[in-house]
Amino acid sequence: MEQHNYPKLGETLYRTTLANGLQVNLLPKPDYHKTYAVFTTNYGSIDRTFQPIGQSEMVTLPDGIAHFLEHKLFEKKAGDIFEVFGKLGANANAFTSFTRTSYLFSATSRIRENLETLLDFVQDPYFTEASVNKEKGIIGQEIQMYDDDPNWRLFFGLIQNMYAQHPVRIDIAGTVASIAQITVADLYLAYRTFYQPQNMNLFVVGHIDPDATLAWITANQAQKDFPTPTPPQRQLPQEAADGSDIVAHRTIEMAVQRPKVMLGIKGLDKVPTGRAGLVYRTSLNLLFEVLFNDSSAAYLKLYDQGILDDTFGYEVDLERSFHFAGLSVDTQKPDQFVQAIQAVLQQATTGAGLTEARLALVKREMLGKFWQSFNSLEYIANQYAGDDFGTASLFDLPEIMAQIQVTDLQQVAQRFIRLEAMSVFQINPKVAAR
Amino acid sequence: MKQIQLNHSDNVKGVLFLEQELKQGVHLTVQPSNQFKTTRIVVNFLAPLQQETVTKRSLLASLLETNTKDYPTQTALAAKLSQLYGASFGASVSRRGQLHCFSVSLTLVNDRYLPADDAVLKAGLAFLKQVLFRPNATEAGFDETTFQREKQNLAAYFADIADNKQAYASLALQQLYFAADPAQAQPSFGNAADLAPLTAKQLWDYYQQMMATDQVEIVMLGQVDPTVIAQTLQNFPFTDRATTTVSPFYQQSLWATPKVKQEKQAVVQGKLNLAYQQPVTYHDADFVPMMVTNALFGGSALSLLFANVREKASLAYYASSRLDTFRGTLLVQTGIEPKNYQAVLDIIQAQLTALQQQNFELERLAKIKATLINDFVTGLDSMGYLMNQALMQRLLPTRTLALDDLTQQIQAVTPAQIATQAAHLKLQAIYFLTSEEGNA
Repeated sequence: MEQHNYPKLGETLYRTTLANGLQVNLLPKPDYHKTYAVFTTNYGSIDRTFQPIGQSEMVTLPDGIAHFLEHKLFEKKAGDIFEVFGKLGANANAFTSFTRTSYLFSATSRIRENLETLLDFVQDPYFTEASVNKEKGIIGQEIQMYDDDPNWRLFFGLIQNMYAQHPVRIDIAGTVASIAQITVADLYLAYRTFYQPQNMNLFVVGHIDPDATLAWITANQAQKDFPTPTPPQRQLPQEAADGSDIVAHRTIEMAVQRPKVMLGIKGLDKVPTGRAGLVYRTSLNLLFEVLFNDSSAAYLKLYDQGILDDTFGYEVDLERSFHFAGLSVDTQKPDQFVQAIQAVLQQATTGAGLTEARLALVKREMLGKFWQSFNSLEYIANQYAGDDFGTASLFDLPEIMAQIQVTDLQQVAQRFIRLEAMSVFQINPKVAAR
Repeated sequence: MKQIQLNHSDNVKGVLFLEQELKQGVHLTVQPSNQFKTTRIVVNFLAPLQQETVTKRSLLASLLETNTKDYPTQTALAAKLSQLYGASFGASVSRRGQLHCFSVSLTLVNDRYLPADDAVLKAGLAFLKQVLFRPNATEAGFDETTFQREKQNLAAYFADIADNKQAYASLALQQLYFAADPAQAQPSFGNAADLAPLTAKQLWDYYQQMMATDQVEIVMLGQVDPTVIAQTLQNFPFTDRATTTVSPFYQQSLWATPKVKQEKQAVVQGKLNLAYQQPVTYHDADFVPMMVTNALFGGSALSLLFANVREKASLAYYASSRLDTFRGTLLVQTGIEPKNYQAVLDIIQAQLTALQQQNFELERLAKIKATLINDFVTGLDSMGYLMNQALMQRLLPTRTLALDDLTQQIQAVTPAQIATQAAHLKLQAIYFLTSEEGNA
């Protein structure tokens, strides 16, 4: 087991890869009462077309299957796994993103039993026709709830503008029509391809002894037989490299009080792999903080002009095979918002607003927020499990932040910010609404 | 300065509370701890809940967190917080039964992680003093530009609630159930009608009243020297004031028949919310049995509501219940297809009947108890939970419950006790938000 000390952070991370390929990360937090474990597969909603293990042709499965599979893994012949965790006094949950599916529990006692339950239920699928059909009603409700959520519609509306082909444009849960097509055979096909140990990682953080915990995990895995590891082969549709297939602007109507608008920038540049990828994402994050955070000149000006308020937010999403940035707000002045933000972005490509003083202040803030986030075991584990930068991880962020200079931000701005990569999605109040 | 044992966690770690009366009615509680990477201080201003002050307090929270005399723009204030290594700062309001709480909170990175000349604790407390005692105002009132903009933003916030259907439905149920008491019926963060006529001068007057008369409870948690903290806070210019005599507990009289309201909007998913009255108050003799009853009814993912309405019958996306032991309620909320209204109502009633007749699996009860105990122990890892416990102990010093006692009491709850508690639940209000074409 490798031991990584981060003295500035006051943390020690233990890391190893088991014989079957499963990556295990352990972070003891002796002052905490709780233990949190998250078991993640590198499989999400965008992995719709792939070569199933043992077959030679690509197949495309119904949209929403990764999320459907997540729901169904909890059901076993003997009953619901939530009940087993309940008996052990633990809280369990799971979530599916564009590129990952994670299963987790948090508990304050009987950690070994809880860990074994987590590993066993995820590694022992049990799908039947009756239970698959019942699930369709439950997930249908979930999809409908998201249909009523204006912020979700705004986010997906923008993504659909930006991505003409890429499956990131499809709702993670699929549609009522697509999930209706899911069969037991589909679920096993996806499961066998993507739930191989070498495509997965386990992160355990909290009141644990690393040696004992690793011994439990190793013993549990040694009891099980897995087929020879086969790296999953995925296929994605091609998109226009120059951004010519991006829809520049689209507006819909919904029952909202004020217009909602989101401006997106699709990443047309290539993201480096490994540590350089994490440096790239951190630079993008710093760039947006420098330009738009609540101590920026742009924020003050737009706030004073009544163009934005504290509904304003921005995010950088960088995952396997896609990356983009989005800036959103609820405002009566959506056109002015878009113009003003575009102007700031354009100017940033010439270095405007990217000063040493601003970068130093923003770094200080980001570093402080980083330490604060380490109070949350869930944050540490979920961030770590969700990223894919080789051996680099969030634990390296203080060092990476220190290395990034103003010239790096300028370069990142030049390669990422392009007028032809921008798109706007807007939701206007429905006139007939209350 | 006196030292007392912290009741709820004394058996966990022997954590100490250090307490000091800074002025009459102004009290400091410090809990030294190395567990977290941060130090947090919360200054709570407590007053009796009154219809006419709630909206003022809510707008005041917006103003105090926007700027100050020393940091007169929100960007100057934000830059100060960045300088303090991304200190988290905010002002907010909340309701605890018949009390209204105005809280200013500051979270700082522990100095042990920072270069020696970059220490933020001292600078952070100086900043907090500026926020509280040097607001951006003159004798004529709060800075007019700031005032108008924050007023407008709060009005927009009130209007935006209509877009969040789950929140909208819970507020509508509250309005329906507490129809006879405007102070309880309105949101804890105020309402548009009371906001509209407010002026910068009126709010300035109210700020002075609050600063002079509200009971102040300061709670601090983190790696600090309590003596140094007490000395620093002694320099905050608080004056003597009375401690509030109002009990936090509120109980309204029963409606003869449940109040029913249905509203149609352009939604796909309906929201069906129910209010039950219940007689139990925080940490009284029936508190633990009622808490277990709620967890079994709808208060956890292992509850009867979750199992039957969502999982077994696929009737709802979510179905849960929540207990408020300060306002005497147990509230159920569900998200359903509009056509399932009656079926869901029936199935909720059936779960309550099952509780009253002790018609549930003992195994389920055992799991609910284990999960509840886990939740309480988990609370010891949360700054927010620990600091709220410290505040509750100040407000209700006789209603303490050590974690060991709590754990034992949870384990000891019997099916018969649950039936008794379930029989106390009286359905009082049904609110249904449905689609334009939906019917009930």
